[in-house]
Amino acid sequence: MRASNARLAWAAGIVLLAAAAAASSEAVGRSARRGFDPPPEFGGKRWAVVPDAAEAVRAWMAAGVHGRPLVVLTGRWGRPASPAQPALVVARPQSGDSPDLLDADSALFAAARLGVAREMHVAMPPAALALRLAEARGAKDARVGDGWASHPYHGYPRRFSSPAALRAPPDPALVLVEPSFLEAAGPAAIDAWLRDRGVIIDLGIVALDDPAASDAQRERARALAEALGAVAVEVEVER
Amino acid sequence: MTGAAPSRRRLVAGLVALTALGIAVRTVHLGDQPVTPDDADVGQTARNFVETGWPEPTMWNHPRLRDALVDASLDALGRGPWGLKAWSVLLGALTVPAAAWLAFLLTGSGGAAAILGLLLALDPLHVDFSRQAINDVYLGFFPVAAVAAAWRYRATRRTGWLVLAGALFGLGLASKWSALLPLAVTAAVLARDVARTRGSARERSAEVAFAASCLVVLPLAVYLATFLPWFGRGYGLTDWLGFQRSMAVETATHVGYAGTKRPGYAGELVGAWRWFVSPAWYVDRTLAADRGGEGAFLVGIGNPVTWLVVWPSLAYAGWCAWRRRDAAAAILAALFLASYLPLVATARPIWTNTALAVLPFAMALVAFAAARLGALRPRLVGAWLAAAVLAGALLWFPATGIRTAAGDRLAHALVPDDAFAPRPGEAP
Repeated sequence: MRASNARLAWAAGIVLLAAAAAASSEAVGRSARRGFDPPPEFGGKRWAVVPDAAEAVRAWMAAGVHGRPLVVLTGRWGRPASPAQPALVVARPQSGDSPDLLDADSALFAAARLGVAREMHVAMPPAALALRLAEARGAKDARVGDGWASHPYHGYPRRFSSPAALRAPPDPALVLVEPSFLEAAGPAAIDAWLRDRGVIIDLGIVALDDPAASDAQRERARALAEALGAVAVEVEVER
Repeated sequence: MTGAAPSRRRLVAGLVALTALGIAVRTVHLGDQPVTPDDADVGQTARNFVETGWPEPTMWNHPRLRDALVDASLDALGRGPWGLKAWSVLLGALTVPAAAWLAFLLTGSGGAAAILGLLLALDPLHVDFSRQAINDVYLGFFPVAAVAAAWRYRATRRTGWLVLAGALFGLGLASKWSALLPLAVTAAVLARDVARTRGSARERSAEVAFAASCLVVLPLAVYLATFLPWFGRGYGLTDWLGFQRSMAVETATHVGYAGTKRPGYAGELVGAWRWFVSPAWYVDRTLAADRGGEGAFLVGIGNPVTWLVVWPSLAYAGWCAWRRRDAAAAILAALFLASYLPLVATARPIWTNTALAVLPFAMALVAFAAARLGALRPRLVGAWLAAAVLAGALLWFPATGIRTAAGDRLAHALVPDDAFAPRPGEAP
């Protein structure tokens, strides 16, 4: 009888230990989600404007946000794919990913690697999305649907879609709008459109430039930032 | 070599001596051994994962114990070869006494234990991977030590042994999922024990609950804990299950990391079925290859004198199990077959590094057969053992990147020339 009791006590202890491990994991995850606490200069707004995606990531890091979903509205993605080797869906860093070495091409990879973003939802105009979906159809890690492709690999879920198929993240998100996304659509509608899609904006950033943007798109980005009342931010980088 | 049970003191002394031999052949010249691209990537991945939970640049689809260990050794020993490889050296060397102890527990034969320890201590492929940062050699230690602990529990009924077995299986699972295979055999044996127990329903229920908590719940808890840095990226348990699913999909369909393979896997040995019927090898090109000369390649070759007698040894163990009702032979055969056959049956490519998870059980069969045969034909087995030691000694040099005429000649006789040609992304 004593031996049975000892075994049952061990079993109960191990189950409790496992439950504690599971609860701790969940708690660690939740406590790692840190949102944006707008400073007084923002006047309660949650939009900022920066020169490009690299500055956006620096701004998020300076703001201390972490473990957030990231919504990206852009008309470009990574480097062109070669027929022999499709581009990796996680963009590789072009010039390193420490905050002082970021560029517009490596920034989103850095946001993932450094834990600023825990998942990414990318909405693209039709032509850019068509390219992305064509690449996804050849990749074994991709699930491709009507107007979207999802990539769960690397412990970092990513989803690419048309604006209409954008899926709202489960909690407040970082948002990056790049000029190449801004086609003929009225820029001022983006904030309301995101809210209509169910996206809760933690800290949105308008980038004024990206490598695929035309002059007209850069002008639209400027107008969008103005219409949103986005606060111009600059992050000092030690070089 | 007669199989008579040795005194406790002699057994311990033997295990210590074999461990010392295992440590020596895994550490000599280690600081000067050129690192491989895998070594460098393992170090970077360890840093990334521990600091930010990011499981890259290499092997994102495998469990994460290695990251925590290598990060700690990089802190303690610096960013050189010792910092990268200390855990492989330690766990590779500890495989020697763990496997010898298991052989003794299963067979009661000091001879089988000594032969097994010697074969593993000197096996060139095992030595090669004990001197690299990647974690395949962990699979030689954790499951073997776990099975040994579980057998101590069966013999002594002391609960601590099965708790230890569960923790070791958890560390094995957190190294690679193939630790599930010996875990399944152990669970089946314990289930059979419970079924044969004559105790009350309460006693049997307590035994089932205890065994399940040790062999299912505890390993899962240990496994989960190694993902804590990843949870620190903001994820929850539901996300983790999704991550596990994508890891499983990639691992089940893995055909090599993008851009690292030549068409048709030219220059690589692919297919687990080949391991014990023809020379088995794994060639790594080191980062020193660009400079040419010494240390350009690490050529790990399974000792052909011992690997090529695995099937006859299995046949002998099967005969003992069938005709003599020899339980030890049956368990040894079951552990080997359960660890090995799923790899043979796998449709996707299996490389020779995976053999490290099977090797202790394969060599246990060989040692079992050699110890039994040694009682009848001591000269024959002595000559075979001497040949095995000689081959292991000669092949130690190519496994460590040291050029010698005899070692190079033997390595080139066993490994095809195209294994030394550059792979994509490597300098010619």
